[in-house]
Amino acid sequence: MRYSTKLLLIVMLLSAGISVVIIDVMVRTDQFNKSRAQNNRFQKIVSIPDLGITTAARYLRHYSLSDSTTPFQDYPVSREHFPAGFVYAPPDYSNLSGRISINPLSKR
Amino acid sequence: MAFRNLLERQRNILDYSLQNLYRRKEKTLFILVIFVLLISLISSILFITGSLTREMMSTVGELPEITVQKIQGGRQTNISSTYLNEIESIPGVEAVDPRVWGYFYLESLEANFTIFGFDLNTLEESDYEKLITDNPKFTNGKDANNIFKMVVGPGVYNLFKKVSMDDTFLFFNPNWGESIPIDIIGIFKPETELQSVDLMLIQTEAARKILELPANQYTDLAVYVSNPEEIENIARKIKLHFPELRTITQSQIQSTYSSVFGWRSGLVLSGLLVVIAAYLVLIWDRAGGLSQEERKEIGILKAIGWDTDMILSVKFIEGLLLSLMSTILGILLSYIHIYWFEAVGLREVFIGWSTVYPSFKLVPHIDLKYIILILTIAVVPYCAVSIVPAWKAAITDPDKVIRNGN
Repeated sequence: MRYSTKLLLIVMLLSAGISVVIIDVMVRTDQFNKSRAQNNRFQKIVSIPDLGITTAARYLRHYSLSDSTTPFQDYPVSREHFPAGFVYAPPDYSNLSGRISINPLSKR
Repeated sequence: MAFRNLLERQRNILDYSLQNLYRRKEKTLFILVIFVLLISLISSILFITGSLTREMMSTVGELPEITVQKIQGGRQTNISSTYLNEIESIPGVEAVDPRVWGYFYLESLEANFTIFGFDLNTLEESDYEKLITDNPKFTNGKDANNIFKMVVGPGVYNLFKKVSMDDTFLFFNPNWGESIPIDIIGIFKPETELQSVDLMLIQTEAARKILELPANQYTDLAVYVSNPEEIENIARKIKLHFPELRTITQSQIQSTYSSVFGWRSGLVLSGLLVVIAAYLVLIWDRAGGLSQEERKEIGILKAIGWDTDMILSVKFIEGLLLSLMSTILGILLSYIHIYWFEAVGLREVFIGWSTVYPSFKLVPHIDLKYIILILTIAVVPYCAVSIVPAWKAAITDPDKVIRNGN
C-alpha cells in the first residue's frame, strides 16, 4: 500500500473523530438548553450567584460577592493559601469608592 | 492528462515526505507526542474555562439587579433592617428582598455548606416538581416530624447519607445549649448540581438561628429594579446616601465572570507559559538546522536532479502533516478528557480542598476563534521553521553538501 493511501485512512479516521465530537457537542448543547429553564428558575429562587465548583473558602464559593479584602484574609499582604484560589482572577471591584493600594510604611 | 500528471507528481512528493517521516519514526513519534501533549494541555484549559464561564453566564440574568452589602472595617457585616424602607423608597426600585444566608462548617466531615434562608411554603407546586426530588425517607415532606425543614443539594445529601443523617440533620454548636434538628424533605435535582451542590435551603427562621443572626439584621439585601436603564443610577444613589454600603450590580457580576478565567487567572497564565516555553524549545530545535544525514540527503536529491522547490515541498509537507495532525489529535483528546472523562486531573485544581463538590458534567463551549488561533500558532511557525534549514541546504552546491555534510 502506498504511503499516501495510508495517510488517507488516517485522515478518514480523524474526520470520523471530528464528526463524533461535533455530534456530541450538538447533543450536549441541546441537553443544556433543555435544563436551562430549570437552572434559571433555581437561580430566581436562590438569588445568590456563582457555581459550587469549590467550597473550600467563602470568597471562592461566592467570589463575585466577596469584598475586596476577603481574598487577602486578615491583612492585605497575606498570601493566598487555598489551592483553588489560583484558578480565579480577581472579581470586578470597579465601583469601589477608592483604589486599594499597598504602600511601604512611612518612617515616623 | 496534464492534470493527472500533476496530481501523480504531487502524490509522489507526498509519498516521499511520508516515507521520510516513517524512516525517522522515533523522532517523528517523539515530536508528535510532545506536540499532542502541548496542544491538549492548552485546549483542555480553554475548554474547561470556556464551559464554566458559559455555565455561569447562563443564569446571570436571573440574579437580583443590585446586591447591597454593608462594609465595616473593610469586611462585610450584617445589614440592619433600617436600610430596607429607605432603599425601597428610592424611585425606580421595584422591591427589596432582605436575605439571610451564610456558611456552616461541619468539623466532623470537614465540609463547608452554604445556608440560604427561604420560606419553603412559598415554593410553588411547579417549582417543586421541576427542581426537587422528594427525600425517600419522607413522602412529600408531610410526615416530617420536626418544625424546621430543608431542601439540600445533591452533594450535601450524599455526604449526609454516608453518616446516616439523610432524614434529619442535627445542627449543633456548643454555644447554643441545644441542637437544632431539621428534616431533609427534598433534594435538588442533579441538573442544578453545579449551583446547588453545597446548598441547604432552610426556612428563614431556622437559618437565622444557625447563622446566629440577631433580629432585624440580615446578611445582605437584594434590590430588584424593573428598568435596566436605571440600575447604575440607583446603585449610585444608594452609595451616595449610604457610603457604608457596597453595591454589586448584575452587570458587574457579568464582567467578573467574563474575566475570571482570562489570561490573568493563575491557571490560564501558568498553562500558557508552560505551553509557549515548551513550544519555543521545539521550534528552536527545528530551526537550529538539519542533521548531517538530512543535509546529505538533500545534496543527493539535488545531485540526481530534484529542483529546490520540490525539496522545499517535501519539507513543507512533512512539517504541515506533523503539526496539523498533532493539533487535531490534541484538540480531540482534550475534548474527550474534559467532556467524556469529566476533566479528571484538571478538575482537582478547581475543587481545591473542597469536601463537597459537583461532578464536572459541563456543557461544551468550543470557541471557533480559539481553535483557529491554536491551529495558526501551532501550524504556521512549525512549517516555516521546517522549510528554512532545508532551503539553506538546498541552495548550497550539492557536491559541497554531500562531502562536508554542511
